[in-house]
Amino acid sequence: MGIESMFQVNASGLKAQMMRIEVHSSNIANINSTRTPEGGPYRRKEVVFQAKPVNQGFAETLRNATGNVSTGVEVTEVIEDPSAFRRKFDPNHPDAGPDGYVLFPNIDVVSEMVDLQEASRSYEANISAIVSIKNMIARTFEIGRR
Amino acid sequence: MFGSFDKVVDKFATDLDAVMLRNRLISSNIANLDTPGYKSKDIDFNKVLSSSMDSLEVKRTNSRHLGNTSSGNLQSGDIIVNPNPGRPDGNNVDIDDEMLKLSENSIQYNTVIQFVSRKLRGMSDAIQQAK
Repeated sequence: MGIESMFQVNASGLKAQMMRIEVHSSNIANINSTRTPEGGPYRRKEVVFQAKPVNQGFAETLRNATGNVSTGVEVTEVIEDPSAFRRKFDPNHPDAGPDGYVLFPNIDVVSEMVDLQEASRSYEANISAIVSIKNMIARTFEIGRR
Repeated sequence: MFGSFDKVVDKFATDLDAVMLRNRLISSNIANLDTPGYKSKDIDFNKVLSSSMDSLEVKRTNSRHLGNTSSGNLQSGDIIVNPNPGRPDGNNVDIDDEMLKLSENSIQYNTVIQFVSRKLRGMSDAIQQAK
């Protein structure tokens, strides 16, 4: 019945949301990073999600006329937020520019926390779906058992 | 007696197909909770189940005639795409809705399994008592 493919959809969801959590955690951790190995302050990063079909297996697709409906998700890229850096006047700061301003990352902690919460919630929803499938499969084996 | 068993298996197989299909759709919706532009999908469960109810009524003049087979009851047209514009990024999956449907579907699955289990046990008992 293409049982493995049933888990793959939500497994891809787990993976994608986990990457999203990592990226936003990274943003929060670097909220005051005025310098990076590449030079300049840390730039806020975001994940880009895209729907991706999951192969349901030949037998399942033949079984009824609905075709392959399983759609997972993947992170296609991690992009950098192009918005402007925060400017703070502090001529004594080691990373201060010639005008005395220091450039800080373009990260708003509240916005990052909201993203983290959303990602967490979506992650848990995917877990619920997997547990539900697992229970259904377990119950299938109990047909006819006394 | 075996004629009625065939009908049970057919209805059981069709209902299972519907439950499994719906589960795949719900799984896909949950995986794509945050995918920009993704629209949630579902099947009209009552319609699909009630159409499979009709298959029980197929008259057969000879018990060796085939009843409705399970394949072909579900069509691509049964899948409904939610047309709501949804959130600004185009995604219209409602997490609470999907969780609810997940529970519903699980219960539906239980029901079918119980039904089949009882029928099978009944057959098995009848066979054993006939010895």
